[in-house]
Amino acid sequence: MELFESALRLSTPLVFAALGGVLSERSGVVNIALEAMLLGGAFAAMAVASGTGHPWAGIGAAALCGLLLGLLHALLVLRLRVDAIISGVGLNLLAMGLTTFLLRSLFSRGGVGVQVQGPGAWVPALKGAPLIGTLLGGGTPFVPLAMLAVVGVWFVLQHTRPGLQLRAVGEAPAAARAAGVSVERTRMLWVALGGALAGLGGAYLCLEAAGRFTENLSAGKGYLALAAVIIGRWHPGWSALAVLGFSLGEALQIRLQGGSAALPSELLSALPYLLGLLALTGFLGRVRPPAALGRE
Amino acid sequence: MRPLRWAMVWVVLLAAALAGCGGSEPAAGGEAPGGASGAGGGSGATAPKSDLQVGLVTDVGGVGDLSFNMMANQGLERAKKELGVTASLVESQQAADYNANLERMAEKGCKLIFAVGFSLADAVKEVAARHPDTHFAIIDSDGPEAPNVANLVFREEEGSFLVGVLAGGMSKSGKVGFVGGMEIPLIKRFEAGFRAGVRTAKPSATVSAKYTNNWTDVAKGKELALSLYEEGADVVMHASGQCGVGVIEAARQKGAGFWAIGVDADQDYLGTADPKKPAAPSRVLTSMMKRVDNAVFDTCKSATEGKFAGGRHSFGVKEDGVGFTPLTYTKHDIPASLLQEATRLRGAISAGELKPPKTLEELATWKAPTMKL
Repeated sequence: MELFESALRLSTPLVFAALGGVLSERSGVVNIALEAMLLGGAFAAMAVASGTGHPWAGIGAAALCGLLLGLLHALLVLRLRVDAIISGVGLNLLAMGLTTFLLRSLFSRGGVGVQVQGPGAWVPALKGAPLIGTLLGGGTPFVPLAMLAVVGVWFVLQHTRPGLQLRAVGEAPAAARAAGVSVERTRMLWVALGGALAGLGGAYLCLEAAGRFTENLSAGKGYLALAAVIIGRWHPGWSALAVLGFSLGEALQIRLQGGSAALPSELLSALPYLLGLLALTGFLGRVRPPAALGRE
Repeated sequence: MRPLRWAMVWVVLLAAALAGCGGSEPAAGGEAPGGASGAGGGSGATAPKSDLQVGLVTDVGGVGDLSFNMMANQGLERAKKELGVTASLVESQQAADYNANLERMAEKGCKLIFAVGFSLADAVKEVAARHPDTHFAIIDSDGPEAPNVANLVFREEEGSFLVGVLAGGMSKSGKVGFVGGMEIPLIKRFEAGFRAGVRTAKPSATVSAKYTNNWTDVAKGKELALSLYEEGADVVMHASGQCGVGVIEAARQKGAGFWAIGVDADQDYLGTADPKKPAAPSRVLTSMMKRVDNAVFDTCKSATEGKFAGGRHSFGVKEDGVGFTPLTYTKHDIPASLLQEATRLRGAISAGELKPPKTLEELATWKAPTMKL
């Protein structure tokens, strides 16, 4: 039970980031800037939550920050024709440098930002109920929010008109254009909205996991989420499951450590990326990225 | 047209990123000449003036790492104030910068240059060979060996032993945890000393050690600590850089009866309800202080007196190089007899009567001293 609780805690920020990745990549824009969106979101959450005293204001700010970063990424890639990988790396570096600088100049006490608190339980009655309680909002609202987000993204993608347009510009932009859909505007919208989701993951990291912002708080989770997107074949549900798989592995690894039958933890840390590589090279069945991913 | 346009965008973005990193220099003390304000005059003591120029090159963690880079900078700040030396600071952004940063300091005319961290050893070796008249001091590294290089190393096992004694004495469950950053000899020294301390205070206690395999993932540090608490531990020490923030957060979340132990700097305030205005109680029992600041200050002092000596300088309890915090917020939680015994054992280490083990191999055959509790 504790193992699953731990896996849920570990997977929550990754689920948000992975959904952001799904939205962006299904519309045809490669997005390795998830790391920047997590980190930026986490910083915005800390700054606004500590400034206003309202965790939900911090969460809103995190989503907004992710949205803006997504918009910037989309502008660079779609308007200014910057290579998406270069734009992503640049944004990741920018987020790292800027948050570190702002943390030290505005909030520093030896590099550790101010203490912030999460929004507290949604359904206090369920507090302490193992697993089910956590899933339904007895702990942090982020867990049920993440599940809702998975279902929401799936529904929008598969069953709504905007979702169809999103998939169309990602698979066959020429056909979409012929049907009167603005490829550029559609992509921009969804990359930005994906950014907002990833920003929420950052808010979780800051408000719930760490209780404060530290330099490089995201610690590579954006890349991990991207690996999950690839293993999950750009499908929101499967990507979330991939995230859950990684997190279960991690939680198990953590619990095995210190015992006698300990696995080398370094190996387990590398496993998600290894699986991602295997998926890409076709060892885990056929993987087909969105046809227009990274193209026009 | 297009390449030009996006090149421009990237110049702007990268400049912003670099400004972000470089901008922290002045905020952290920067290159402003120190001691010039003569602030020490008011205290009655005459602030001595020294024309010594000191440089400090940090590792990639930078002075915001809450750990040895920050402590080194604090030592430098103190030297500026009390010795009147002029100080320059540069934070390395990546490993490739070490050499250039050290060289820059030497060319600027610094006569004593600190390199913070064992990662800088190779760079120090090269630059020190090119500047035989400049003195260098490297933290946490036995190499390079050169007449103009001082190696400032710490006996972390001694301080870890003392906080281990406190941990063992405070543990009600008889289970104690340790969260390390990476399984390298340096961190193993913390673990070995800590285990020895716990064993001394409570021979029946068990210690479980887990490693994060990185220095920045706060969420992972927290999960490791939570899993240790789940297994029954009620005191967890960390030696894992920023991951330790998560360890402390886990103790805060678990609440009364659960303790974390900080490392390197005094992290006790992080366990209080509001770290901006810290007040008892704190969930951080104590911190294993590694006084890099004292080592830096002492080396500056020797240099101003013309007594700089190359070679290995080891800092332990005796030299006030390691130890535990003044227990500002937790003094009332710790039984007087335990504190007394910890203080007595500190004296024994200082006098050289007690030598905590440096490795797990040494620990296996190490005989614990008796404690009267």
